[in-house]
Amino acid sequence: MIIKMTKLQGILLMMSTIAPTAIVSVPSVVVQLSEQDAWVSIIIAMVAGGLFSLLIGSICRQNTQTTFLDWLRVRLGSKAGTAIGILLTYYYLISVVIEMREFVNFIGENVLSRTPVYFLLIITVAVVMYGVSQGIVNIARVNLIVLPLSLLVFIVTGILLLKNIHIENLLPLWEHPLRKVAQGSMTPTTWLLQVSILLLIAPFMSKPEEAGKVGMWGIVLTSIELGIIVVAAITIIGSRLISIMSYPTFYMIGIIQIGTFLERIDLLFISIWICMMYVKMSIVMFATFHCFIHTFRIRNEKPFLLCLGLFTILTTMYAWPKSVDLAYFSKTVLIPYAITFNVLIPLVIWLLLRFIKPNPMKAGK
Amino acid sequence: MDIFNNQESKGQSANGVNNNKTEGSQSNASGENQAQLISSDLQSNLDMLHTRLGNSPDIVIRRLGDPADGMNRNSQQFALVYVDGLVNGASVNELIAEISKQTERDMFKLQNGEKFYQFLKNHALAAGGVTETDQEDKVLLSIFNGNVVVLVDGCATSLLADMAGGNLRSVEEPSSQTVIRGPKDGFTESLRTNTSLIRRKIKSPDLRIDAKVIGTQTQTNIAVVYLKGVAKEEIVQEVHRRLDSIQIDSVLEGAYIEEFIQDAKITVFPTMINTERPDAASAGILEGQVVIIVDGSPFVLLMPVTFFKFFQSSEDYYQRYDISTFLRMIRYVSFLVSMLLPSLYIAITTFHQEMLPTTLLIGLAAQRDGVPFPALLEALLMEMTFEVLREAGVRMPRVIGPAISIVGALVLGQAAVQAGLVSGAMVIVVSFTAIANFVIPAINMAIAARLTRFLLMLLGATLGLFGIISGLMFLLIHMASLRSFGFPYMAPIAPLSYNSLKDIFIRVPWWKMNTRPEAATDNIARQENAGQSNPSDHPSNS
Repeated sequence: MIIKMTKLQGILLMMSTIAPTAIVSVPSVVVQLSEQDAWVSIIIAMVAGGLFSLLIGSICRQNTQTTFLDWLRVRLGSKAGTAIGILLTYYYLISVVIEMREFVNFIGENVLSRTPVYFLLIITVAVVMYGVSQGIVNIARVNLIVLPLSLLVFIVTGILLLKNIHIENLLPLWEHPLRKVAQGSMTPTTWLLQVSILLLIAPFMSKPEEAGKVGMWGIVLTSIELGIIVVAAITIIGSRLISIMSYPTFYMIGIIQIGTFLERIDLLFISIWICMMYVKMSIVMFATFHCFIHTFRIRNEKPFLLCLGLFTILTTMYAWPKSVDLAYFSKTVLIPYAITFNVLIPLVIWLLLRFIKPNPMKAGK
Repeated sequence: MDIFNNQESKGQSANGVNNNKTEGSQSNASGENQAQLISSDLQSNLDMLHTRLGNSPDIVIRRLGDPADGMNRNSQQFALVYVDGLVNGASVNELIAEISKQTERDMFKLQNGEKFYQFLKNHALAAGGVTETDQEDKVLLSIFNGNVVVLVDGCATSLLADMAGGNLRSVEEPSSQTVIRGPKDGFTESLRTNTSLIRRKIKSPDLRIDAKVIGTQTQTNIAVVYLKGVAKEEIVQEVHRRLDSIQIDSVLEGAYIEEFIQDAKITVFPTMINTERPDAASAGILEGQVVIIVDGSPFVLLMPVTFFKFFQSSEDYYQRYDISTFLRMIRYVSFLVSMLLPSLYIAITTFHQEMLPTTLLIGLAAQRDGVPFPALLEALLMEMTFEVLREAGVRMPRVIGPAISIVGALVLGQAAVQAGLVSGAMVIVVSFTAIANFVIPAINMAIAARLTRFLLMLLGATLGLFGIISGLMFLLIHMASLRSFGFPYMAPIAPLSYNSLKDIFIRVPWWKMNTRPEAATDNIARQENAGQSNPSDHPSNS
């Protein structure tokens, strides 16, 4: 019995691909540029991401049979398919390495300051690789438990924070020129563009032709989540302070205190965030492994799973000798890099698909 | 030739009664071995039995009508062979008396062996289940299944009369899974009694009982019970296929089979439920589950199951839905407590003290002040103490139970705290964890929580909350990947099925329970008025 992903699982999977890292990094970056108008930047990013998901959907609609790379090979030729496969493998590997490094850095700095980073990394990679070994449908199922749980925690903390809200922090409205607000929307758009992973995931859905809708819903819901966090951060902390904070989301939750028995519950929020990060890293690692296996047509997958895990640990450890290097990389290279792979490659694929007509001889094989 | 390696399924019942025990398919037959046939000479048949069975004192061979014993020389010679203790002695005596009476009356009519055989088959043994066989192996097997074998001189066929009896435990209240309200009957060690207990509850012609024999030495009878039209056909076939593939010498309990046929070979989580309650088994059958009954065990297996089934108790459906829902919530919380509480305590006291309110933190610190061990060692010490007490409690004689309880509670609890070996808080944590573990209705799921607790304690002690969360994620990925006969273990949550949610975290009222859970059936309509509201919503009530 082959069970595929439902539409709901797909939407939640998209949310989990984008949200966990975005909710941590987006508020401070957006508020730095558009201050109290940051929510408008999020709306602009949502529109851009939505339009992009239509492009992804139109590609996914054409393949309802086999995995993305196998289909590309048949549709665009072996060389083009392999080249795209190599590029995607490279992109997702680097993405997962960045995420992993940021994740263990965060844990090392905020939760377990005296534990060696490599130990944290080994545990993280072990859990992620186990998730990958069980397949994307299984990851989607785990996400079906983790994401609603995180949303529940999100809502409860929101309610507990209500008394700290200062709505006047959002005023004056439209103080910043559109150019500045649009500039502020660049970072959230970059995160939302990660919806391009649908190209790989759509064949695992029971209705791959609905990938466009799944992407659209994923982007809208994630943007709403991001918007709420940004607005909450501005109204609770104030735009000036947010700009100088590394993790305003966690700080915001840290200020919750009820009587003397409930304080410092940010650790609970961090715990559920760790679960979300595990799901996210498993999705991206799955994309890496899937691209790798299908690009190089590997049949016996298990040994390579182990090798990829080891390779990820070493790259994560040694790609950036210091955390400062990673911060520099994130500030300078990450956005053009992500846009190149998330936008340009799907766009090229889309154009190639438009101009290269299907070969009935190959399709029949 | 192995006496049990036969697969013949001839044996048409003499009086239409189909005796599955002797003619059911034997899954582990080893091939096309030529069956050894019995002889028409009574003496040589008895010699054969002596040779193959040895001189075991429980095997009774009663030769009757022998002139050497002073009988009329015209009397027909025959023999009854059975195992003392496996048959109903009174029935055997009645049979002998009946034959004697009839043969005295119709002596001359019954001198011919063939006629005597027909007389036995159609008149003397007509009441019970009777089959015939001409194979030595079948004769031997039927003896051990509680049959009386009748061998007639001059006939190369034997009669197998089902007179199973002997001392069996009667139907009693189950020792596990007790309820305050609900049926008090429990399964016994007799397969036939167990099938009858289910038949009494489900009086449907669609209830099917398929027979199997597993175990080359034990020849254990197995029954596969399901409701045709409700159970998924592919699941029933899969159960048969997996049972047929078992190659083992003995099956003494359902657990032997469980480990063979479960989907995941390595997991701490059970993927089959066992119960000794006929009502729970019947409820499972009515929801499309397949039940396996193993002769000799009062515990039957139900499949397929999902994770959430292990938190449902029979009593949930006999009490009002509000209290049932509340109790179900308590069980889920208890499962989490049982798995997580010691590890959370270790993680928070070792790594994340800032999470505790200051007053509580000071109190805990004062308690732990004189304790020489780190929190992990302290917790392991107490957990191991409790595990030892628990194991001792199972094995020790009932009369010294209270004494051990006092030793456990006072010496190992209070005295350990006073001696400064463990802190009072740790005693509370371990005790509450242990009690919470007993709240889980299914013992095999409670065991899973018990085992994973130790893993999480180690992770909590080495990596704090991060370690616990990592461990939980690992378990979650593992559980989401499990299947029970092909069905996802975490359904109906992951994958989500709205229809089946009404009996997971909450138990909706019976009048709302209009569909079956989708795990084991495609035929989900449970009530004819599915979708309608409470029947008491009648205009006359308003």
